[in-house]
Amino acid sequence: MAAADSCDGISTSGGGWEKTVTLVSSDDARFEVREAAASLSQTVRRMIRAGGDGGIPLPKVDARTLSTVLEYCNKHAAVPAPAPESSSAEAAAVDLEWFDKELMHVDLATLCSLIRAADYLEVAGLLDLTCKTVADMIKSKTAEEIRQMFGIQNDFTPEEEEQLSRENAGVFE
Amino acid sequence: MALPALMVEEILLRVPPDEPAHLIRAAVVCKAWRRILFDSGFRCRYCTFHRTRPLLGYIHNFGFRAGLEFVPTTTFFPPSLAASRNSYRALDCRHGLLIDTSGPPGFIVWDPITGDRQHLSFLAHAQENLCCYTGAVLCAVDGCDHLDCHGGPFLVVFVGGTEGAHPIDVDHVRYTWASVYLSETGEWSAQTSGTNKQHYYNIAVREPSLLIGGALYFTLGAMRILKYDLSRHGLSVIEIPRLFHKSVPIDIDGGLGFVDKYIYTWSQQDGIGGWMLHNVAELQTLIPQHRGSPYRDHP
Repeated sequence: MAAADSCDGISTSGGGWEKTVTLVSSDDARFEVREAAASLSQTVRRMIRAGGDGGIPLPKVDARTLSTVLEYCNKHAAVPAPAPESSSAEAAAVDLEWFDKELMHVDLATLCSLIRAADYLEVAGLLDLTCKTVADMIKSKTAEEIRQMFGIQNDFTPEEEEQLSRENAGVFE
Repeated sequence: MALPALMVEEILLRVPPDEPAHLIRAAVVCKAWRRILFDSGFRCRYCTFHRTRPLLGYIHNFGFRAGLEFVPTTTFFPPSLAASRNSYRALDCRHGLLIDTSGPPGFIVWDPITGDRQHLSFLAHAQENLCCYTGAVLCAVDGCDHLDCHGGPFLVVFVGGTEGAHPIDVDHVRYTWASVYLSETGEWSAQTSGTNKQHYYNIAVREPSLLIGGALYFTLGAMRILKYDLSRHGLSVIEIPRLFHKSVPIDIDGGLGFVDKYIYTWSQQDGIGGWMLHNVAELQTLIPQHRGSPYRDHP
Protein backbone atom coordinates (compact mmCIF):
# COMPACT_ATOMS: atom_id res chain seq x y z
CA MET A 1 0.00 0.00 0.00
CA ALA A 2 1.75 3.19 -1.11
CA ALA A 3 0.63 6.75 -1.24
CA ALA A 4 0.49 8.70 -4.48
CA ASP A 5 -0.74 12.17 -5.13
CA SER A 6 -2.21 11.75 -8.54
CA CYS A 7 -3.96 9.09 -10.52
CA ASP A 8 -1.30 8.95 -13.21
CA GLY A 9 1.95 8.82 -11.24
CA ILE A 10 5.06 7.24 -12.71
CA SER A 11 7.15 4.62 -10.94
CA THR A 12 9.75 2.05 -11.72
CA SER A 13 8.85 -1.57 -12.02
CA GLY A 14 11.14 -4.39 -13.10
CA GLY A 15 13.77 -1.95 -14.32
CA GLY A 16 11.33 -0.09 -16.58
CA TRP A 17 8.94 2.75 -16.24
CA GLU A 18 5.36 1.88 -15.82
CA LYS A 19 2.34 4.07 -15.36
CA THR A 20 0.52 3.63 -12.06
CA VAL A 21 -2.70 4.90 -10.56
CA THR A 22 -3.82 5.29 -6.98
CA LEU A 23 -7.06 3.75 -5.83
CA VAL A 24 -8.71 4.81 -2.57
CA SER A 25 -10.94 2.34 -0.70
CA SER A 26 -14.08 3.21 1.28
CA ASP A 27 -12.02 3.19 4.48
CA ASP A 28 -9.42 5.57 2.95
CA ALA A 29 -6.67 3.05 2.31
CA ARG A 30 -4.61 3.96 -0.74
CA PHE A 31 -3.31 1.43 -3.24
CA GLU A 32 -0.82 2.26 -5.95
CA VAL A 33 -1.43 -0.07 -8.86
CA ARG A 34 -0.08 -0.46 -12.38
CA GLU A 35 -2.52 1.18 -14.74
CA ALA A 36 -2.62 -1.97 -16.88
CA ALA A 37 -3.82 -3.97 -13.86
CA ALA A 38 -6.29 -1.33 -12.64
CA SER A 39 -7.73 -1.08 -16.13
CA LEU A 40 -9.10 -4.62 -15.87
CA SER A 41 -11.81 -2.74 -13.96
CA GLN A 42 -13.99 -0.98 -16.51
CA THR A 43 -15.17 1.39 -13.77
CA VAL A 44 -11.58 2.44 -12.98
CA ARG A 45 -10.69 2.65 -16.66
CA ARG A 46 -13.49 5.18 -17.21
CA MET A 47 -12.35 7.21 -14.18
CA ILE A 48 -8.75 7.25 -15.43
CA ARG A 49 -9.97 8.62 -18.74
CA ALA A 50 -12.03 11.27 -16.93
CA GLY A 51 -8.84 12.37 -15.11
CA GLY A 52 -8.52 13.88 -11.61
CA ASP A 53 -6.11 14.36 -8.73
CA GLY A 54 -5.65 12.71 -5.38
CA GLY A 55 -6.38 9.13 -6.38
CA ILE A 56 -9.48 7.36 -7.64
CA PRO A 57 -12.14 7.02 -4.91
CA LEU A 58 -13.92 3.66 -4.70
CA PRO A 59 -16.51 4.28 -1.95
CA LYS A 60 -18.22 0.89 -2.32
CA VAL A 61 -15.13 -1.28 -1.74
CA ASP A 62 -13.30 -1.66 1.57
CA ALA A 63 -9.53 -2.09 1.81
CA ARG A 64 -9.60 -5.81 2.54
CA THR A 65 -11.77 -6.60 -0.47
CA LEU A 66 -9.94 -4.15 -2.75
CA SER A 67 -6.66 -5.78 -1.81
CA THR A 68 -7.94 -9.16 -3.07
CA VAL A 69 -9.43 -7.61 -6.21
CA LEU A 70 -6.08 -6.00 -6.99
CA GLU A 71 -4.25 -9.26 -6.32
CA TYR A 72 -6.45 -10.76 -9.05
CA CYS A 73 -5.92 -7.80 -11.41
CA ASN A 74 -2.14 -7.76 -10.92
CA LYS A 75 -1.87 -11.45 -11.69
CA HIS A 76 -4.16 -11.41 -14.71
CA ALA A 77 -2.72 -8.22 -16.20
CA ALA A 78 0.81 -9.55 -15.81
CA VAL A 79 0.23 -12.48 -18.10
CA PRO A 80 1.97 -11.92 -21.42
CA ALA A 81 0.29 -12.99 -24.62
CA PRO A 82 2.34 -15.89 -25.97
CA ALA A 83 1.50 -17.53 -29.27
CA PRO A 84 -1.67 -19.52 -28.85
CA GLU A 85 -1.22 -23.31 -28.53
CA SER A 86 2.43 -22.87 -27.58
CA SER A 87 3.74 -24.69 -24.53
CA SER A 88 4.28 -21.38 -22.70
CA ALA A 89 0.66 -20.41 -23.33
CA GLU A 90 -0.44 -23.70 -21.84
CA ALA A 91 1.83 -23.27 -18.83
CA ALA A 92 0.54 -19.70 -18.29
CA ALA A 93 -3.06 -20.94 -18.43
CA VAL A 94 -2.32 -23.66 -15.87
CA ASP A 95 -0.60 -21.14 -13.62
CA LEU A 96 -3.56 -18.74 -13.83
CA GLU A 97 -6.00 -21.54 -13.12
CA TRP A 98 -4.04 -22.53 -10.04
CA PHE A 99 -3.86 -18.91 -8.91
CA ASP A 100 -7.63 -18.44 -9.33
CA LYS A 101 -8.32 -21.61 -7.37
CA GLU A 102 -6.13 -20.48 -4.49
CA LEU A 103 -7.70 -17.01 -4.49
CA MET A 104 -11.15 -18.57 -4.05
CA HIS A 105 -10.15 -20.38 -0.84
CA VAL A 106 -12.07 -17.90 1.28
CA ASP A 107 -15.30 -17.97 3.29
CA LEU A 108 -18.72 -17.23 1.83
CA ALA A 109 -18.92 -13.73 3.35
CA THR A 110 -15.65 -12.79 1.62
CA LEU A 111 -16.86 -14.32 -1.63
CA CYS A 112 -20.05 -12.24 -1.48
CA SER A 113 -17.99 -9.07 -0.84
CA LEU A 114 -15.83 -9.97 -3.84
CA ILE A 115 -18.91 -10.51 -6.02
CA ARG A 116 -20.28 -7.09 -5.02
CA ALA A 117 -16.88 -5.48 -5.66
CA ALA A 118 -16.36 -7.25 -8.99
CA ASP A 119 -19.82 -6.14 -10.08
CA TYR A 120 -19.28 -2.52 -9.00
CA LEU A 121 -15.77 -2.36 -10.44
CA GLU A 122 -16.83 -4.30 -13.55
CA VAL A 123 -14.02 -6.83 -13.47
CA ALA A 124 -15.67 -9.43 -15.72
CA GLY A 125 -13.19 -12.25 -15.11
CA LEU A 126 -13.39 -11.91 -11.32
CA LEU A 127 -17.21 -11.69 -11.38
CA ASP A 128 -17.30 -14.91 -13.38
CA LEU A 129 -14.81 -16.64 -11.10
CA THR A 130 -16.54 -15.68 -7.84
CA CYS A 131 -20.06 -16.42 -9.09
CA LYS A 132 -18.94 -19.78 -10.46
CA THR A 133 -17.35 -20.62 -7.10
CA VAL A 134 -20.60 -19.84 -5.23
CA ALA A 135 -22.68 -21.68 -7.88
CA ASP A 136 -20.53 -24.77 -7.32
CA MET A 137 -21.06 -24.41 -3.55
CA ILE A 138 -24.87 -24.30 -3.79
CA LYS A 139 -25.43 -26.77 -6.60
CA SER A 140 -25.65 -29.90 -4.46
CA LYS A 141 -27.31 -28.28 -1.43
CA THR A 142 -30.94 -28.54 -0.36
CA ALA A 143 -33.14 -25.43 -0.32
CA GLU A 144 -32.89 -25.27 3.48
CA GLU A 145 -29.09 -25.53 3.40
CA ILE A 146 -28.97 -22.71 0.84
CA ARG A 147 -31.21 -20.55 3.06
CA GLN A 148 -28.89 -21.13 6.00
CA MET A 149 -25.80 -20.28 3.93
CA PHE A 150 -27.15 -16.89 2.89
CA GLY A 151 -29.40 -16.16 5.89
CA ILE A 152 -32.49 -16.16 3.64
CA GLN A 153 -35.98 -16.25 5.15
CA ASN A 154 -38.30 -18.91 3.71
CA ASP A 155 -41.23 -16.73 2.57
CA PHE A 156 -43.38 -19.52 1.10
CA THR A 157 -46.56 -20.34 3.01
CA PRO A 158 -47.01 -24.01 4.05
CA GLU A 159 -49.70 -24.30 1.31
CA GLU A 160 -47.31 -22.96 -1.32
CA GLU A 161 -44.58 -25.34 -0.15
CA GLU A 162 -46.94 -28.27 -0.45
CA GLN A 163 -47.91 -27.16 -3.95
CA LEU A 164 -44.22 -26.91 -4.96
CA SER A 165 -43.41 -30.34 -3.64
CA ARG A 166 -46.42 -31.77 -5.49
CA GLU A 167 -45.20 -30.18 -8.74
CA ASN A 168 -41.77 -31.71 -8.34
CA ALA A 169 -42.95 -35.12 -7.16
CA GLY A 170 -42.47 -37.80 -9.77
CA VAL A 171 -40.22 -35.58 -11.86
CA PHE A 172 -37.12 -36.23 -9.80
CA GLU A 173 -35.98 -39.50 -8.34
CA MET B 1 -24.47 -11.58 3.48
CA ALA B 2 -27.60 -10.82 1.44
CA LEU B 3 -26.85 -10.27 -2.23
CA PRO B 4 -28.80 -8.01 -4.59
CA ALA B 5 -31.06 -9.85 -7.04
CA LEU B 6 -28.79 -9.05 -9.97
CA MET B 7 -25.87 -10.80 -8.30
CA VAL B 8 -28.00 -13.79 -7.28
CA GLU B 9 -28.89 -14.03 -10.97
CA GLU B 10 -25.19 -14.02 -11.88
CA ILE B 11 -24.62 -16.92 -9.47
CA LEU B 12 -27.65 -18.95 -10.60
CA LEU B 13 -26.60 -18.40 -14.20
CA ARG B 14 -23.44 -20.38 -13.46
CA VAL B 15 -25.08 -23.37 -11.79
CA PRO B 16 -24.04 -26.21 -14.12
CA PRO B 17 -26.86 -27.52 -16.35
CA ASP B 18 -25.88 -31.19 -16.10
CA GLU B 19 -28.28 -31.86 -13.23
CA PRO B 20 -31.70 -30.10 -13.48
CA ALA B 21 -32.45 -30.80 -9.80
CA HIS B 22 -29.86 -28.16 -8.82
CA LEU B 23 -31.91 -25.30 -10.25
CA ILE B 24 -35.22 -26.80 -9.09
CA ARG B 25 -33.90 -26.82 -5.52
CA ALA B 26 -32.73 -23.22 -5.92
CA ALA B 27 -36.24 -22.30 -7.12
CA VAL B 28 -37.76 -23.27 -3.78
CA VAL B 29 -35.30 -21.30 -1.63
CA CYS B 30 -37.48 -18.16 -1.56
CA LYS B 31 -39.84 -16.20 -3.78
CA ALA B 32 -37.13 -13.80 -4.96
CA TRP B 33 -34.94 -16.65 -6.24
CA ARG B 34 -37.99 -18.33 -7.82
CA ARG B 35 -38.87 -15.10 -9.68
CA ILE B 36 -35.33 -14.92 -11.06
CA LEU B 37 -35.31 -18.54 -12.24
CA PHE B 38 -38.78 -18.41 -13.81
CA ASP B 39 -38.11 -15.20 -15.71
CA SER B 40 -38.01 -15.83 -19.47
CA GLY B 41 -35.02 -13.50 -19.81
CA PHE B 42 -33.06 -15.65 -17.35
CA ARG B 43 -33.93 -18.79 -19.30
CA CYS B 44 -32.60 -17.24 -22.51
CA ARG B 45 -29.42 -16.06 -20.76
CA TYR B 46 -28.93 -19.49 -19.16
CA CYS B 47 -29.27 -21.31 -22.50
CA THR B 48 -26.91 -18.87 -24.22
CA PHE B 49 -24.39 -18.99 -21.38
CA HIS B 50 -24.12 -22.79 -21.31
CA ARG B 51 -24.65 -23.36 -25.06
CA THR B 52 -24.80 -27.15 -24.94
CA ARG B 53 -28.07 -28.58 -23.77
CA PRO B 54 -27.58 -31.17 -21.03
CA LEU B 55 -28.15 -34.85 -21.68
CA LEU B 56 -31.09 -35.84 -19.47
CA GLY B 57 -31.21 -39.41 -20.66
CA TYR B 58 -31.79 -41.49 -23.73
CA ILE B 59 -34.63 -43.40 -25.34
CA HIS B 60 -34.21 -47.13 -25.53
CA ASN B 61 -36.28 -49.34 -27.84
CA PHE B 62 -36.97 -52.86 -26.74
CA GLY B 63 -37.52 -55.46 -29.44
CA PHE B 64 -39.85 -54.93 -32.35
CA ARG B 65 -43.17 -53.51 -31.11
CA ALA B 66 -42.14 -54.16 -27.53
CA GLY B 67 -42.15 -50.52 -26.53
CA LEU B 68 -39.67 -47.90 -25.48
CA GLU B 69 -38.26 -46.67 -22.22
CA PHE B 70 -36.52 -43.51 -21.06
CA VAL B 71 -33.19 -44.19 -19.40
CA PRO B 72 -32.32 -41.14 -17.27
CA THR B 73 -28.73 -39.99 -16.87
CA THR B 74 -29.72 -37.40 -14.24
CA THR B 75 -32.32 -37.50 -11.45
CA PHE B 76 -34.87 -35.98 -13.85
CA PHE B 77 -37.56 -38.22 -15.29
CA PRO B 78 -40.11 -36.73 -17.73
CA PRO B 79 -43.56 -37.43 -16.27
CA SER B 80 -44.99 -37.90 -19.76
CA LEU B 81 -42.72 -40.92 -20.24
CA ALA B 82 -43.81 -42.63 -17.04
CA ALA B 83 -46.98 -44.07 -18.57
CA SER B 84 -46.81 -47.49 -20.14
CA ARG B 85 -46.45 -47.24 -23.91
CA ASN B 86 -46.08 -50.85 -24.83
CA SER B 87 -46.59 -50.81 -28.57
CA TYR B 88 -44.61 -47.67 -29.37
CA ARG B 89 -41.20 -47.56 -30.96
CA ALA B 90 -39.01 -44.45 -31.05
CA LEU B 91 -37.81 -43.59 -34.55
CA ASP B 92 -35.87 -40.42 -33.91
CA CYS B 93 -35.22 -37.76 -31.29
CA ARG B 94 -33.89 -34.28 -31.98
CA HIS B 95 -34.18 -30.65 -30.83
CA GLY B 96 -36.18 -31.71 -27.75
CA LEU B 97 -38.73 -33.67 -29.78
CA LEU B 98 -39.33 -37.38 -30.05
CA ILE B 99 -41.06 -39.15 -32.92
CA ASP B 100 -42.49 -42.57 -32.44
CA THR B 101 -44.90 -44.92 -34.10
CA SER B 102 -46.84 -48.04 -33.39
CA GLY B 103 -46.94 -48.71 -37.14
CA PRO B 104 -49.30 -47.27 -39.74
CA PRO B 105 -51.51 -45.29 -39.70
CA GLY B 106 -49.38 -42.61 -38.07
CA PHE B 107 -46.63 -40.99 -36.06
CA ILE B 108 -46.71 -39.21 -32.74
CA VAL B 109 -44.41 -36.21 -32.32
CA TRP B 110 -44.06 -35.17 -28.74
CA ASP B 111 -42.11 -33.06 -26.36
CA PRO B 112 -41.09 -35.35 -23.48
CA ILE B 113 -40.47 -32.37 -21.18
CA THR B 114 -43.87 -30.70 -21.52
CA GLY B 115 -45.82 -33.81 -22.54
CA ASP B 116 -47.30 -31.97 -25.59
CA ARG B 117 -47.98 -34.43 -28.36
CA GLN B 118 -49.28 -34.27 -31.89
CA HIS B 119 -50.64 -37.14 -33.95
CA LEU B 120 -49.72 -37.19 -37.64
CA SER B 121 -51.52 -39.48 -40.04
CA PHE B 122 -49.64 -41.22 -42.81
CA LEU B 123 -50.47 -40.14 -46.30
CA ALA B 124 -53.38 -42.34 -47.32
CA HIS B 125 -51.84 -43.48 -50.61
CA ALA B 126 -48.47 -44.02 -48.93
CA GLN B 127 -49.83 -46.86 -46.90
CA GLU B 128 -50.38 -48.98 -49.98
CA ASN B 129 -47.59 -51.50 -50.46
CA LEU B 130 -45.41 -49.76 -47.88
CA CYS B 131 -42.81 -52.30 -46.85
CA CYS B 132 -40.48 -50.24 -44.67
CA TYR B 133 -40.38 -46.69 -43.37
CA THR B 134 -38.85 -44.39 -40.81
CA GLY B 135 -39.18 -40.77 -39.80
CA ALA B 136 -36.97 -37.94 -38.62
CA VAL B 137 -38.06 -34.90 -36.62
CA LEU B 138 -36.35 -31.53 -36.41
CA CYS B 139 -36.96 -27.89 -35.55
CA ALA B 140 -38.23 -25.97 -38.59
CA VAL B 141 -36.90 -22.53 -37.66
CA ASP B 142 -34.20 -21.22 -40.00
CA GLY B 143 -31.03 -20.24 -38.16
CA CYS B 144 -32.30 -21.56 -34.81
CA ASP B 145 -29.54 -22.43 -32.33
CA HIS B 146 -31.88 -25.08 -30.84
CA LEU B 147 -31.09 -23.98 -27.32
CA ASP B 148 -34.69 -23.12 -26.48
CA CYS B 149 -37.02 -24.07 -29.32
CA HIS B 150 -39.63 -25.84 -27.22
CA GLY B 151 -43.10 -25.46 -28.68
CA GLY B 152 -41.83 -24.02 -31.97
CA PRO B 153 -42.63 -25.24 -35.48
CA PHE B 154 -41.12 -28.56 -36.48
CA LEU B 155 -40.88 -30.71 -39.56
CA VAL B 156 -41.00 -34.46 -40.03
CA VAL B 157 -39.23 -36.19 -42.87
CA PHE B 158 -40.89 -39.47 -43.77
CA VAL B 159 -38.83 -41.97 -45.72
CA GLY B 160 -40.56 -45.05 -47.06
CA GLY B 161 -39.85 -48.03 -49.27
CA THR B 162 -42.75 -49.08 -51.49
CA GLU B 163 -43.28 -52.19 -53.55
CA GLY B 164 -45.28 -51.08 -56.54
CA ALA B 165 -44.99 -49.26 -59.80
CA HIS B 166 -42.71 -46.25 -59.63
CA PRO B 167 -44.69 -43.07 -60.43
CA ILE B 168 -42.30 -42.16 -63.27
CA ASP B 169 -40.58 -45.35 -64.30
CA VAL B 170 -43.22 -48.07 -64.19
CA ASP B 171 -40.66 -50.77 -64.91
CA HIS B 172 -39.37 -50.43 -61.42
CA VAL B 173 -41.50 -52.10 -58.86
CA ARG B 174 -39.59 -51.03 -55.77
CA TYR B 175 -38.58 -47.51 -54.89
CA THR B 176 -37.69 -45.32 -51.93
CA TRP B 177 -39.32 -41.96 -51.46
CA ALA B 178 -39.61 -39.09 -48.97
CA SER B 179 -42.27 -36.63 -47.92
CA VAL B 180 -42.03 -33.72 -45.49
CA TYR B 181 -44.63 -32.65 -42.95
CA LEU B 182 -44.60 -29.04 -41.77
CA SER B 183 -46.32 -28.39 -38.45
CA GLU B 184 -47.05 -24.80 -39.50
CA THR B 185 -49.19 -25.88 -42.47
CA GLY B 186 -50.23 -29.26 -41.12
CA GLU B 187 -49.66 -30.81 -44.56
CA TRP B 188 -47.39 -33.38 -46.16
CA SER B 189 -45.40 -32.39 -49.23
CA ALA B 190 -45.53 -34.23 -52.54
CA GLN B 191 -43.39 -37.36 -52.66
CA THR B 192 -39.77 -37.08 -53.65
CA SER B 193 -38.24 -40.23 -55.06
CA GLY B 194 -35.31 -41.40 -57.05
CA THR B 195 -35.93 -42.63 -60.57
CA ASN B 196 -33.08 -45.10 -60.38
CA LYS B 197 -33.97 -48.52 -59.09
CA GLN B 198 -30.72 -48.39 -57.15
CA HIS B 199 -32.68 -46.17 -54.81
CA TYR B 200 -34.49 -49.06 -53.22
CA TYR B 201 -32.88 -50.68 -50.23
CA ASN B 202 -34.18 -51.78 -46.89
CA ILE B 203 -34.43 -48.84 -44.52
CA ALA B 204 -33.03 -49.57 -41.10
CA VAL B 205 -36.11 -48.64 -39.12
CA ARG B 206 -34.57 -49.00 -35.70
CA GLU B 207 -31.70 -46.61 -36.24
CA PRO B 208 -32.06 -42.88 -35.80
CA SER B 209 -31.26 -40.52 -38.63
CA LEU B 210 -28.30 -38.19 -38.52
CA LEU B 211 -28.48 -34.47 -39.27
CA ILE B 212 -25.30 -32.89 -40.62
CA GLY B 213 -25.55 -29.41 -42.09
CA GLY B 214 -28.61 -29.29 -44.32
CA ALA B 215 -28.99 -33.03 -44.85
CA LEU B 216 -30.42 -36.03 -43.06
CA TYR B 217 -28.72 -39.40 -43.38
CA PHE B 218 -30.63 -42.67 -42.94
CA THR B 219 -29.07 -46.09 -42.62
CA LEU B 220 -29.93 -48.47 -45.45
CA GLY B 221 -29.08 -52.09 -45.89
CA ALA B 222 -26.28 -53.24 -48.24
CA MET B 223 -23.61 -50.76 -47.02
CA ARG B 224 -25.46 -47.69 -48.16
CA ILE B 225 -26.71 -44.50 -46.63
CA LEU B 226 -29.72 -42.55 -47.86
CA LYS B 227 -29.20 -38.80 -47.94
CA TYR B 228 -32.12 -36.39 -47.88
CA ASP B 229 -31.18 -32.82 -48.79
CA LEU B 230 -33.48 -30.56 -46.76
CA SER B 231 -33.20 -27.52 -49.02
CA ARG B 232 -33.38 -29.26 -52.41
CA HIS B 233 -35.74 -31.99 -51.22
CA GLY B 234 -33.55 -34.47 -53.03
CA LEU B 235 -32.86 -38.10 -52.22
CA SER B 236 -29.57 -39.74 -53.04
CA VAL B 237 -27.78 -42.91 -52.04
CA ILE B 238 -24.24 -42.87 -50.70
CA GLU B 239 -22.22 -46.00 -51.11
CA ILE B 240 -19.62 -46.42 -48.42
CA PRO B 241 -16.26 -48.14 -48.68
CA ARG B 242 -16.64 -51.91 -48.42
CA LEU B 243 -14.34 -52.09 -45.43
CA PHE B 244 -17.13 -52.14 -42.96
CA HIS B 245 -19.61 -54.57 -41.59
CA LYS B 246 -22.11 -51.87 -40.86
CA SER B 247 -22.95 -48.49 -42.33
CA VAL B 248 -24.24 -46.48 -39.39
CA PRO B 249 -23.45 -42.83 -40.11
CA ILE B 250 -22.06 -40.61 -37.35
CA ASP B 251 -21.12 -36.94 -37.24
CA ILE B 252 -17.40 -36.44 -36.67
CA ASP B 253 -16.55 -32.75 -36.48
CA GLY B 254 -19.26 -31.90 -38.99
CA GLY B 255 -18.17 -34.60 -41.45
CA LEU B 256 -19.67 -37.95 -42.28
CA GLY B 257 -18.12 -40.90 -40.48
CA PHE B 258 -19.02 -44.54 -39.95
CA VAL B 259 -19.26 -46.82 -36.99
CA ASP B 260 -17.84 -50.28 -37.19
CA LYS B 261 -15.20 -51.87 -35.01
CA TYR B 262 -13.41 -48.58 -35.45
CA ILE B 263 -14.66 -45.02 -35.99
CA TYR B 264 -13.57 -43.84 -39.39
CA THR B 265 -13.68 -40.29 -40.59
CA TRP B 266 -14.17 -39.96 -44.29
CA SER B 267 -14.98 -37.10 -46.58
CA GLN B 268 -16.35 -37.27 -50.06
CA GLN B 269 -14.07 -35.97 -52.76
CA ASP B 270 -15.74 -33.33 -54.89
CA GLY B 271 -16.09 -34.23 -58.53
CA ILE B 272 -14.52 -37.66 -58.08
CA GLY B 273 -17.18 -39.41 -56.10
CA GLY B 274 -14.61 -41.29 -54.03
CA TRP B 275 -13.76 -41.15 -50.36
CA MET B 276 -10.73 -39.97 -48.45
CA LEU B 277 -9.85 -41.52 -45.09
CA HIS B 278 -8.87 -38.94 -42.46
CA ASN B 279 -8.79 -40.60 -39.12
CA VAL B 280 -9.38 -43.87 -37.33
CA ALA B 281 -10.15 -44.26 -33.63
CA GLU B 282 -10.54 -47.53 -31.82
CA LEU B 283 -14.04 -48.05 -30.53
CA GLN B 284 -13.27 -50.75 -28.01
CA THR B 285 -11.76 -48.22 -25.64
CA LEU B 286 -15.10 -46.39 -25.53
CA ILE B 287 -17.63 -49.20 -25.58
CA PRO B 288 -17.19 -52.74 -24.26
CA GLN B 289 -17.03 -55.00 -27.31
CA HIS B 290 -19.62 -57.48 -26.08
CA ARG B 291 -22.26 -54.74 -25.94
CA GLY B 292 -22.20 -54.32 -29.71
CA SER B 293 -23.08 -51.20 -31.66
CA PRO B 294 -24.35 -48.25 -29.64
CA TYR B 295 -27.08 -47.91 -32.25
CA ARG B 296 -28.32 -51.43 -32.05
CA ASP B 297 -31.52 -52.01 -30.12
CA HIS B 298 -31.88 -54.42 -27.32
CA PRO B 299 -32.12 -57.93 -28.80
